[in-house]
Amino acid sequence: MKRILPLLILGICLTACVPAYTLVPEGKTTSNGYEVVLESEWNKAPEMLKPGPRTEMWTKDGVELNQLLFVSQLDAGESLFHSRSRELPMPKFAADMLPNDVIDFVKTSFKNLYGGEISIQAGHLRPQSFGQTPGYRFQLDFFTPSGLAKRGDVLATIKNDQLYLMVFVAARMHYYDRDQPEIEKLFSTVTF
Amino acid sequence: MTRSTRRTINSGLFLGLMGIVCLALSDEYKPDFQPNYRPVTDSDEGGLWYVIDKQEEQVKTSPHRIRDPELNRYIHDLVCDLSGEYCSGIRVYIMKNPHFNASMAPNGMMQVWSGLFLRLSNEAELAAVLGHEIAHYLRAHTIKRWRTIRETGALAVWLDVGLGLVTGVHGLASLGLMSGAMAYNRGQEEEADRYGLQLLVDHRYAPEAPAQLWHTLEIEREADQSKSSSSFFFATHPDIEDRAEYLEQQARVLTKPEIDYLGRSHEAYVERVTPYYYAFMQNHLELQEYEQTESLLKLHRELGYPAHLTDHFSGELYRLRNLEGDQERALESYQAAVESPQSLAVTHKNFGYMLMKQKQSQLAREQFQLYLDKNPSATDAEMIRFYLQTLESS
Repeated sequence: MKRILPLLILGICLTACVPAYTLVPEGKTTSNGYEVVLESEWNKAPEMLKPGPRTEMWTKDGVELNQLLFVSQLDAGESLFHSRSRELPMPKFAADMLPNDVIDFVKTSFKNLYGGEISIQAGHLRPQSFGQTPGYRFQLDFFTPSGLAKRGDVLATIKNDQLYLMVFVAARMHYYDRDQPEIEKLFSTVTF
Repeated sequence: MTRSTRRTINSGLFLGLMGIVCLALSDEYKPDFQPNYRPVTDSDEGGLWYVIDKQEEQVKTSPHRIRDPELNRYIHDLVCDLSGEYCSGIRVYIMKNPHFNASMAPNGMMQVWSGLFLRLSNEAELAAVLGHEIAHYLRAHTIKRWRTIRETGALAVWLDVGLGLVTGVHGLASLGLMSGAMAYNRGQEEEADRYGLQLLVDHRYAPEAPAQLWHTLEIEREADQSKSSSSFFFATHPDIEDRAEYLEQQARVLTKPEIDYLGRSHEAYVERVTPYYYAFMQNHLELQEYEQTESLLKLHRELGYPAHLTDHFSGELYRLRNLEGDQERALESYQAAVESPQSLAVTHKNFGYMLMKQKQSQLAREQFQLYLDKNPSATDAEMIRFYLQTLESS
């Protein structure tokens, strides 16, 4: 028993310390208050890897290749992502933000998530319902500091002074185009 | 004679003597190598060039490279003018990076960052920066530095971190890591300053330009107390006041009243940079260093950049900063910007949004309509038309 005990402790430690993704099967499911119908399987990131306070993060092939963020009920004064640097604090949401402000809010949040080392282009802003609420969507394009081109789609709305966002970001090469049709369907069928 | 008077006279004498010594020294600066020099591959210098050549391949294809042919031609011609027969060994890459910097690698790869253009007042100052970088190159400072660092054992850091950052392959580096590993030493900086000034004067550029540029940078640094530690430039160039002083001193010695020096015109420089101003400032605004942006806008107004551009960026700065009273300040700036016939479509749009926020529906509609008139193929036209309809019924 004396020999087994350290191994048991080590085993418990390893299972407790390694963050595990959980499988999200096809079909109807909920995420952070949203209801979606999935055409394929996703992986939900563990609590400790969540980038922001009101955010759930999913991926198919690893967050560097594709990720889907569900952000809900972000209050005024809250940030999209956890701050990583005192010199580069995350921008804060304000309830009176209009689409141009929300675009800058999302752009700056991502820029600061990368330590300020990326420059993001945003465009193709257009109206789109978010569940039952009038909302809008736009596109993001950027290169990571190591040179990987990424593209993102953002669906946004402000309801009762709180921000709701769905953000899909993927590597331009292969992954964005492969998953885009599914994301399109998710954006148009999501409810909350 | 009081002690302070004596000190003043002593320092005056000292500076005077320094000026004479500097003049004597500056006449002696010569390149360390022949034009089209390339080290043999199996030497330490050949090895260094090999590594940097590989980095240059990445810079060449970097998404941050600015390829505008006219701007590239302008800088290339200026570099060629200053470097003479050494021009064929230098390749210039203009990089999209809002920080103030230019750099020179020993293999002749020169980088000029877009943020540099935002700090300059005339072509002579641009020539001063390029001359300084060319001087580092002609005096082979990097290989000398490399040989020193090799003895201290910090070479791996210097290669991995230093070169990567300075060549821009790691993106828009915040560059805090740069200071120790990559900087030239103080003696080399001073030599590049003095040799650079010599090149400037040899080509009839205004000798006072380098010292004036340092003064401009000092003003910007003072406006940006909170973040000076994160600035690449100030981390690697710590002695602004000293340098401004000795450059000013040497410029006074070198200036000849009978010569009509080149590059002093603000107007000519501003006209040259205006086509790129929007993109460069937009990039700077993204740094979220609002005091610094404000200080730059003040400089740009003094230099005579078109008011519809500076007013637009003041509006954007206040909208993004969003402190108490900033929405009102943004409205005033946008209002001033749209009064120009050259006003940008995007100013009308953001003015419209801000008016909408203030519940001034009719005025917001007018601005949105002007936006669509100026930019009928805007990718967000559908969104703006949606608001035009919403505002009509409100």
